[in-house]
Amino acid sequence: MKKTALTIFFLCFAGILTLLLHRHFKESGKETVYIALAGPMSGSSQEEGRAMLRGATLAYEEVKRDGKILKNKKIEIVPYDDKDSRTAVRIASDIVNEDKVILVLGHYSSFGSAAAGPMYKSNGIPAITASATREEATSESEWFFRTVPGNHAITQFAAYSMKDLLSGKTKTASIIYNKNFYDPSVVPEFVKQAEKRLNFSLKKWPFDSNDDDIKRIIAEIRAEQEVGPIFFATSSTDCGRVISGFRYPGTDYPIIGPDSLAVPGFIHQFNSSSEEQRNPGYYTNGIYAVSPFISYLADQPNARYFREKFVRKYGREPTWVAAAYYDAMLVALNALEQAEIQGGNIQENRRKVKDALSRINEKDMAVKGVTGDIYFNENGNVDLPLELGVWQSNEFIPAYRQYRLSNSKSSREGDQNPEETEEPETATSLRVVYTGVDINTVRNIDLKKGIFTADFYIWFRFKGTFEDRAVTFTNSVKPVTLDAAIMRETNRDDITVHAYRVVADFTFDSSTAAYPLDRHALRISFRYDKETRNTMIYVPDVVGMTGSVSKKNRGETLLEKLSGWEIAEIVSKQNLYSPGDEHKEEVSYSQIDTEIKVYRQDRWILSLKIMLPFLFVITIVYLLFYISPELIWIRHFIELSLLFLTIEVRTLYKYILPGQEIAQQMLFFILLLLLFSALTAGGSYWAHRRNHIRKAKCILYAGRFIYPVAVTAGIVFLLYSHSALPWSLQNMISNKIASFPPPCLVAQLKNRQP
Amino acid sequence: MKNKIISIFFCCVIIGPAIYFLPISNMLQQKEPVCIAIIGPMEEANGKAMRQGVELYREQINKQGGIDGRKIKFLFQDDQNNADRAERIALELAEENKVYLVLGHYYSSASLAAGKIYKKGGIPAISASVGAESIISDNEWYFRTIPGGSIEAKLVASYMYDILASYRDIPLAEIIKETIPASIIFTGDADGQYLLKNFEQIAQRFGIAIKGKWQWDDEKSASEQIDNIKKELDAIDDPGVIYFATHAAEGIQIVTALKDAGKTYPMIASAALTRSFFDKVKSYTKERETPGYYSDGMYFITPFMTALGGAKGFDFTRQFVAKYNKEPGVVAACYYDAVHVAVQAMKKSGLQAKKHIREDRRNIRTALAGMYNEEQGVKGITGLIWFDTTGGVRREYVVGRWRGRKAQPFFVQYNQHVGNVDDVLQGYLNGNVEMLAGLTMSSTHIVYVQVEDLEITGINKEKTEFGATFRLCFRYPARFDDASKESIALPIEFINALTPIKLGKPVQETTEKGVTSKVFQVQGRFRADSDADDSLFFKRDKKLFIHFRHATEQYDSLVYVPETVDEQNKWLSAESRTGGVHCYSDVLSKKTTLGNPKYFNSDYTLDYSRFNVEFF
Repeated sequence: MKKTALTIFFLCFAGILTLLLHRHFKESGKETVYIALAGPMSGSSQEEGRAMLRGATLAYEEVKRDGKILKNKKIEIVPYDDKDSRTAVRIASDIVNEDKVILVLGHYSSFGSAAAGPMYKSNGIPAITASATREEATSESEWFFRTVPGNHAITQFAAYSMKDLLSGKTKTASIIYNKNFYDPSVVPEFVKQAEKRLNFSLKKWPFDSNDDDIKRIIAEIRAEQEVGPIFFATSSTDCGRVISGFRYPGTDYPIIGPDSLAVPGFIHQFNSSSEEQRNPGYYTNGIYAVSPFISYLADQPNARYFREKFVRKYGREPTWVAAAYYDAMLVALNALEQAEIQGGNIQENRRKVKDALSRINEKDMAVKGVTGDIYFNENGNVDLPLELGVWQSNEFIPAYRQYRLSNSKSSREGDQNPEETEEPETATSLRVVYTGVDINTVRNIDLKKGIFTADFYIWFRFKGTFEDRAVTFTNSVKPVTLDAAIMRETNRDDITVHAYRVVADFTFDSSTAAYPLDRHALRISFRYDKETRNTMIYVPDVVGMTGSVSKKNRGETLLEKLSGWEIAEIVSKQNLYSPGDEHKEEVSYSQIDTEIKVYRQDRWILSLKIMLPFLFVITIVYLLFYISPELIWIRHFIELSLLFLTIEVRTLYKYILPGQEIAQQMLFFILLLLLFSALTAGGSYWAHRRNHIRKAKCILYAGRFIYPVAVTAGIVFLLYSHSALPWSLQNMISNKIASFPPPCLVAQLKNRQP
Repeated sequence: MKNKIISIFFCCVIIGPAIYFLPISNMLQQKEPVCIAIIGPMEEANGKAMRQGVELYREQINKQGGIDGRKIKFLFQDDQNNADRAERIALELAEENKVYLVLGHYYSSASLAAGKIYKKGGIPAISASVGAESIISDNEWYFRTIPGGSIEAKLVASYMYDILASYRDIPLAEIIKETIPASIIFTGDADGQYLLKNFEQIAQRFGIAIKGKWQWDDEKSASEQIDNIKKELDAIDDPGVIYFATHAAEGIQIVTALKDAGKTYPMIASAALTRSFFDKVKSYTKERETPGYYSDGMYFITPFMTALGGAKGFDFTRQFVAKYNKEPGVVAACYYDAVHVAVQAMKKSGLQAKKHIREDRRNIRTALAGMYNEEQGVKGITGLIWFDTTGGVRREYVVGRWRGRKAQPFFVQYNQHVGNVDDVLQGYLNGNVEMLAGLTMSSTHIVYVQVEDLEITGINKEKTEFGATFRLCFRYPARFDDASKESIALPIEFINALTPIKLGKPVQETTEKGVTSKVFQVQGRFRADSDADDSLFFKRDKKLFIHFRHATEQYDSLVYVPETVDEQNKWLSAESRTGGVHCYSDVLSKKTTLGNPKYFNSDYTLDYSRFNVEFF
């Protein structure tokens, strides 16, 4: 008899498991395709290797969620730990020998890519790198593709931006370069470009990467009277060694570097120094670097979506490596779909994928990535914009002026048309205005009218002149004008800060449907109407507002507590405002939404009050499991009266509560519980009538066990769906769901998104 | 068998939580405390004040986790203000090699004697009471956190115009054009000579004629000297403001003698005299009968006054009162700051283990010396503290006047101004800026506030709103006002007003002795205090408040001070106060960067003076 009980248990569990794993089973029936990801998974650059993996994984998850392409394929990313060029060759030969991988993402470093490239070429394996910027890696092989701009474009961009780094009348600038770091033509090309733009000649400091040579460079720079801005054409480790040699108070040479200085690995090498620990950013504050992607400039809808997903999943802002490999993965997945491979010969399939990749060769075919629209030229390279960022308190934030160089040379063969490079490039520039909102007080939250009063400081920080007061608050009740500034300051680098105080009423979306678990986003939105997004962008001043990205602002610095409300978080987000036609993307304006997310202070007591009748019903239903099986009519009678009671309470709530969602969900939940109770009652009665006394008891026992589990699960789910669980629990569940999404939950979650 | 199981079960139930809750793991990991010696006249009032100040700080810092997890421990030593004793204690400390730093001594002579040993033994020392330059001038191990005699004398000299103008009821702009008289009484020792030298120097620059000059000699008979001073003062037809550049003992004798003789002169007391004035004057019968008999009307200078101590100063006073049930004196505040500076230096230098105590002390000294300019300085309750090359500080004193034995700040206070102001001289004439001992100063305007005829008109049922009408009286020198606006005290912003209240024209306006008082009628509805959190089961009686602040002027340029202070209730916590209306001012302080990179990763706060009216 005990066996029967066990069987029932087992069956129930099996049923639930089957239901949950349904997707998983379905997927396991699909064809599996392997994509190799070769990057530094250990050692000093492991941070970058992880970023690659994160970006690629997120891209795959998003494509899967979208569900439009690759419906009947399962992709598996196989990471390979690529530390240097020697391991790169070994990895390449492993991939060749295993004959499993259809495509390679990577390698991370230029040298790794150059070493592995010939193997992929001779064995016909397509590879996409989104970080190896050395030109020769891709130009020598039609199997190798690159989704970020190459070294020519990067150095050209750096040469163009260098002029902005000159302070005052300085007439010197320098380049420090490792002789082996770039293709031979890149450094002379850079020097030519920079000298043309700066109108004077550069000081050059070449070196090999041995210790003595670096010491010599440091000594020479220290001895030099005037060095001016320095371009570092070196790896991040070499740059770190040189910088730690001469970075001390009084030697604030502006420094600009290539993409290799725009990754966290660059600043992490200083972590062990005592100055850095005492004063974060001691060595790296003010170092500029060229980057294919800076998350603070990514305000286009798809990029915003990517950022939000990334931050939610990994708890940090995406670096350019993560963004670039997200894009590379998108390109790879699109190519896989286009290639229409179906089993068969892997050699053949690889060729199909390669052909599909090379067909992405014009704007109309482009894959819309977060770094731009990606399509390849005949060299397997892309022509994408670059951005200039600067390190500040260990955050990589955009520089005050961003250039878009058109007529970019990297899109062409280097020496095809020598006279054309002499032409002056046309450049458009984008002004970056840092802006911050620091809330003093929030009062008079009126849910009926959807209005609240906010008292806050707002500031703008920019370079040069800018009409900062011409800002429009989009959701203020009355138009807000900025009066006298409480601070106006311009420092010697021509950086101006203007801070104002604003006290005004703002509107917000005040739905109380989920009362008392309702959360509100008290929003302060403003945008700049005078210039479009093409020439002006607002960037939230995270360093000025909270000190760092990872630090949450929970309103600790508010002058008064909100009465009746608790602050979950205060965040400032970028947005775009496009008037009129949705399809015309050309005209859009930069906008900042600052949201004060609040929930009710007494939500637990209020919930308990509301839930009390329901909890009473739930308790009584549980007690029914202790009634003997033969008394089925009593059970049914009680169940029925409880049903009426619940409906009665629900109807009553309709008139007295501001929000109906919770009551409605509870009603539904109790109906399910009553149904369960009725079924168990029926089952046990039936077994009893047939004299299976023990079986009847077993059913009741099972009910007694399952019922509380179901109630707990139901309540947890209810709270979860209203984001009312303690933060860590909430996060754990949402992570579980993100990695394995049952469709019904996803649908529900999507509806929750404001 | 069953018993066994039960007993085991109980053991588990009891021992488990006990292990969990007892801080055994903490006890094992407890790091060795950092020992600081506090040396002074521990049995006297000043020594006790030192002790109270530093103890209050220790509690706070240890609660915050100490220095890198190491708690602070004090070693109190009594030197009885005696040089020999001080030297002996210093020798012991150097031998024991246990303390990281010395705070003290109280007297110059004691400090001087002990300082030599600290220098030799490599022990950093900070005094927050000694005025003499000699203790720090050639001892790089000795630091001082109160300004020295040179700043005091110069500040006093530069206030002569202000004091005389208000004393004679002449506009400052006029008096500043002529040469004014002044007199000085100084002691014959090094300190007094030093004050005299600096006073004369700045007097000459400002066009002050020194009419009377008396040197006090401890060797000679006191009464003879006092008689002499009285006689000579009578002979001078206008001695101007008399500066008491003396220690407390002789200063009090002269002041009381002059008062007893029925003479009233404008007088200003040195910091040393101010510090012990009320302690010394206690023994005079007239003062006991009529409190304030000797002190009222006298000007003084002091390093600390709560009203001007900023948000931290108010916090300090509040906590001090809560702990010791009395208001903190200057000595307590100065030593509170001194230990704060010491702890900041220790944090900056990064202490190592016990074996490296000599090296640690060297690092602490380097860290202290590293606070060499305004930006590297530490903000304390007595002002911004940074050390010049001699190891002394340069910062402002607060100038005040006693009224009813209470210290009231003078209408203009000068603040150390971080940054540059171009036209300093013009600034001084405008009353805005002054150059002092190589510092650029900006001025703070003090406005006295009084609330009269307060009437509550209607409290709503939920006690969330109320109406009030009252008269608001501002008092300040007439020269603060210019034509551009109604009054320097305006526009004010009622922080908890339901709808913004605009003050109209003053209902009453009088000017007397160059001091204007303007009375405004206020009527409005206010929000009741929302801070008092109601518990689940009962609602506390809500206290009603009216708060206001200046709409634009920040704390460093305008401070509201209550005209009359309700002594009994002033610093008690809100719960334990009783009946009536209470006025007090404090600081509305917000930590923000305002987007200025200069303030990133700093403790910059944007402060406004806030005036509070509290009633039931």
